[in-house]
Amino acid sequence: MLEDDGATSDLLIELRLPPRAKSIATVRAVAADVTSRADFDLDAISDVRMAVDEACTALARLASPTHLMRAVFSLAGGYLRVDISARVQPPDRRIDTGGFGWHVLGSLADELSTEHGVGAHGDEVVIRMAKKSAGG
Amino acid sequence: MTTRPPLTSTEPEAAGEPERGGEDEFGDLEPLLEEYAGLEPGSRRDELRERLITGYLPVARRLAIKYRDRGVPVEDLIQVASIGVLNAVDRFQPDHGANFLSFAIPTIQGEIRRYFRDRTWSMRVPRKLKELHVSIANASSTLSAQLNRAPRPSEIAAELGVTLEEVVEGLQAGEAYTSTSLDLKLSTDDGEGSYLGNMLGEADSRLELVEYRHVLRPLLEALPERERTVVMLRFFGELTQTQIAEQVGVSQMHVSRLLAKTLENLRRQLEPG
Repeated sequence: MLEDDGATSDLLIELRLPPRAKSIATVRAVAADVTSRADFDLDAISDVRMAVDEACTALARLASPTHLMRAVFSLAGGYLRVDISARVQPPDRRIDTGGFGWHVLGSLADELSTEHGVGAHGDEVVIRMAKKSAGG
Repeated sequence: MTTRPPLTSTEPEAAGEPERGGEDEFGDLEPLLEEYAGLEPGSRRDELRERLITGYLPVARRLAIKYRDRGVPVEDLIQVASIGVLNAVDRFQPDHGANFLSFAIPTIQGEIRRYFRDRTWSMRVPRKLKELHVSIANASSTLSAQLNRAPRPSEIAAELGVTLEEVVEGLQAGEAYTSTSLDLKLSTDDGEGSYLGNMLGEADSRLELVEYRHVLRPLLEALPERERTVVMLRFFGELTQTQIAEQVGVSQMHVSRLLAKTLENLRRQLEPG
């Protein structure tokens, strides 16, 4: 999780969303927007867009319906980083890293990891992804 | 823009119901439906699901073909209709005494109508943005060939003599707008070149190594060839979208859309509900 007051950070934008398809569509559009504005190439823009969609959808399946998910976009050292997190129910649920969805994420992102049992209540699952700006 | 007749709920059925086929065309599938509905999740259930879906796919095909004159590639329609088959197989309750086809046909038609409804909505993008998007697509093809990689928005802006902001907006418009002019074949290759064949072979051997291949493979097999090719090359061949575009002979933006759409469909099939 990006712990930052935002003042001096590489933070681009942070979104909170209910774990629902409509909201995920908005986050996907934001993902494409920030990646375009950061001047990533068209392949990378499309990859980030799909990765954010995939990660949000995977987390939304585990997420507690009464809590908001969080998507944090930041840019540093030529990498766009996206951390997506959700409080899950029951708290021991985690992302299946053996399936096609995770394989897809691994192809789309340059760096990928997940953690569970984190956050203030110990019930958050987070997916962290990074995409490198080509040649930059 | 061409105007099409409204998509009414009665029109496609007006020609009768040949999609039902002969009385016993699906006779051997019916007992499987009952067994399927009673099974707990497990390999037997997965196997039955696959057999049922494959078995009932001809229904999807027949229904999809009825909508073929509406400016959408019929293979796209078949794919949409196939989702209807998946949903019908998953939701059907045999103990309600209903016939499966009576349940499946409206489910499949609903899926096709929803597709047309969403698509109509997506066409409402201002003309100026559409034109900008087409210019961006053309510039992107030119630049990809020059640079041997996908261009950045700043490079497209410089090529077109517009601002970065305009390129960002034009790219966003493209996400809502499906233009057939973007589907221009950029290469005369019919997609069966030996390089492509080799790449697909490599991708296929990588798919063989993953644990979930038994679930994924039948879904991939059910995809139209172009969709299957881009998914295999991107996720198992590790080619970039620009490289795939070059091999398959469509634009990078078209590959991007095909991938996003196909992934969404696959996700729905892999995780019903």
